[in-house]
Amino acid sequence: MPRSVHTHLTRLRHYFRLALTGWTVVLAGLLVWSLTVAHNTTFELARKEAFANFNKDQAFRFWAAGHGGVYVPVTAQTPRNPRLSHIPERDITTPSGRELTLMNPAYMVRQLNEEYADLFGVRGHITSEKLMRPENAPDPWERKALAAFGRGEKEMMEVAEIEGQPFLRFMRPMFIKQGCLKCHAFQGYKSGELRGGVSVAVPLAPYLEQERRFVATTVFSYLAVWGLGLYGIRFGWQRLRRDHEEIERAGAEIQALNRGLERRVKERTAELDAANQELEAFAYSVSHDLRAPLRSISGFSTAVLEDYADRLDDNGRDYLERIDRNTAKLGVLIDDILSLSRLTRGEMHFQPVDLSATVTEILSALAAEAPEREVETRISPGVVAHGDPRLLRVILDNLLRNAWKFTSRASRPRIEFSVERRGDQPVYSVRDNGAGFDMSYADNLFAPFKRMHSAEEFPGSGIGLATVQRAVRRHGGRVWAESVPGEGAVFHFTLAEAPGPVQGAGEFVSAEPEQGDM
Amino acid sequence: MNDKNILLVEDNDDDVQLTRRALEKAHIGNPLIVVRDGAAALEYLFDDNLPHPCLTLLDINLPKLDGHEVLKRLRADARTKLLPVVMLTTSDEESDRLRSYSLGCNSYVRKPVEFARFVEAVKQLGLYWIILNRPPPGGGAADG
Repeated sequence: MPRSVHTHLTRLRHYFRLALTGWTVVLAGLLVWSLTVAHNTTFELARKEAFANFNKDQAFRFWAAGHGGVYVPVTAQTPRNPRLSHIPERDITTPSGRELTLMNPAYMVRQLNEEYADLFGVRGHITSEKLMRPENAPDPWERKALAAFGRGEKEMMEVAEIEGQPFLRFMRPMFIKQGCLKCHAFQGYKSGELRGGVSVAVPLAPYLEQERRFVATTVFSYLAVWGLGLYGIRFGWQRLRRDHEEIERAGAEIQALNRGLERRVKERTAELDAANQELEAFAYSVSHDLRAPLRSISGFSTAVLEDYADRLDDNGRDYLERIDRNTAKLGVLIDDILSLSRLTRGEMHFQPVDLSATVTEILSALAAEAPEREVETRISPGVVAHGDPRLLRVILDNLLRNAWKFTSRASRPRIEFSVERRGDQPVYSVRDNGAGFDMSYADNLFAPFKRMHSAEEFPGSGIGLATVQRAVRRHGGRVWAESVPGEGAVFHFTLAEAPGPVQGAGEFVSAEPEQGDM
Repeated sequence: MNDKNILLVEDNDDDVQLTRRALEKAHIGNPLIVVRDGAAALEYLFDDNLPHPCLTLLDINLPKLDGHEVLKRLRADARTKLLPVVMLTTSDEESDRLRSYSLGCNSYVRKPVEFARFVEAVKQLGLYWIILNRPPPGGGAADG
């Protein structure tokens, strides 16, 4: 048992390692996915801002270009644009005498971006390879983008650094429209031609800062969840391991108990064997040592009776005869006790036994012993039981001998042997019409040396039915009796036998035992 | 050889006396030689100067060597291999009977308690083994 628990534990440990690995891999995957999504979102937001600003600049520019530029009062910040000097109405005077000058879209957007860039936070820039103002010259990234537009690219987007700070840079090409030619026709442009590019640069620092905070929070949360999971798995593992250790301990205890039990059974068996051997030795010594002196008593009392008869009176002879009779009786008693004790010893050999034949044999023998008696016998034919032949013969011999004895005074003695099925068990019966006995003493019927009748009435040692009971019990069966004094007795017994049909049940055939000389 | 001795191997003096009496009652006049233990029995039977008895009555419970051991050694020796041996004992144990016959006894008789029946048994034994039974040639020696 501990070996299987060990194997189980090893397998469980393996599962828990797998669970730990799986948990870690799943969480790591989720974290990577989460961070990727966050990163993409950051750039999506920055891109949207870039688009918004770009479209706003475009809107300003298109509005201004649509109106052919706007007139604004001339100030120090907004001087007359020398590059528009070729336009006839660059400077006008209102009827009230205020001086106004024309502001073209590029100029307007540039000024918006230069003076209010802090408000937008996003740097917009219009640039071109053909410059009207040198300060509008493209930076290296814009130059690269303009070259790309020349090759037909529709837009450029990239993260690049400006003055050491990360920016999302976006740029689209700018094509000449009809409204543009008012100012730019002198440069030789035609409508639809690539004029330059409009770029926006969205500072990424705030987005990256937000992303950094998100990353920090997320990583921390994931670490916490991961740790919690690890703790849970570890906790579960420890619980299971403790349970298993307990099972193992219990198993070991059971084994120890079993070993103890086995040892005790062995000890008891040895004790029992020793006791049985002692009993055997005792029975043997009873057989030998009790009979030998008895023989001497009988022998020498007979010798006195024979050799000194002339010196004894009738009383003396009577006493010696009584001694002899009693030694004979004691001899029979010793033999009966021995045969009773022998019943509890010795192996049983189960086999089918023809009880009808056995009964017939025994009754024939009884008839031969007392040829003067006439007893009617009825024996159910073909009754076969499963049991030990020797013990079954002992049972039937004692019951039939009893029946024979107690019918000795009946006017028409009759002895029957039959079987009937009660429930699923055959019940064997020996019935006689003899003296019977008083049922109120039936408790003592099977006790050794307890007798129902005086020795003068019917002789016997009182061991016969005790022997029957022992033999029946060794078969796992039961024996009981019914009787009415003066009308006879019936003895029933069962045997725990292999189930099978009982043959010859309920029928009788008359079979007078042979009355012959044997 | 001419006497047709009976050898009784018996340690109980009462039994010796009763056996002697029973032989007398049965009118068996053959000389009765009595030895009191197993070793003495073997000493007697293995003595080449002494005639073999026509019948040996052997008890089982004996001092020194028990009846079974005596029987075993008798059967193992060519001189006494075929010697008629009757177990005359108190025991009626199956194990004793089985062992006696296994070791090669010729008969097994249980001593009855009642003296009258004992006399009857001794009488029949004497009649059978001394008068009716024909001993092996050579008085029990296997090589004849």
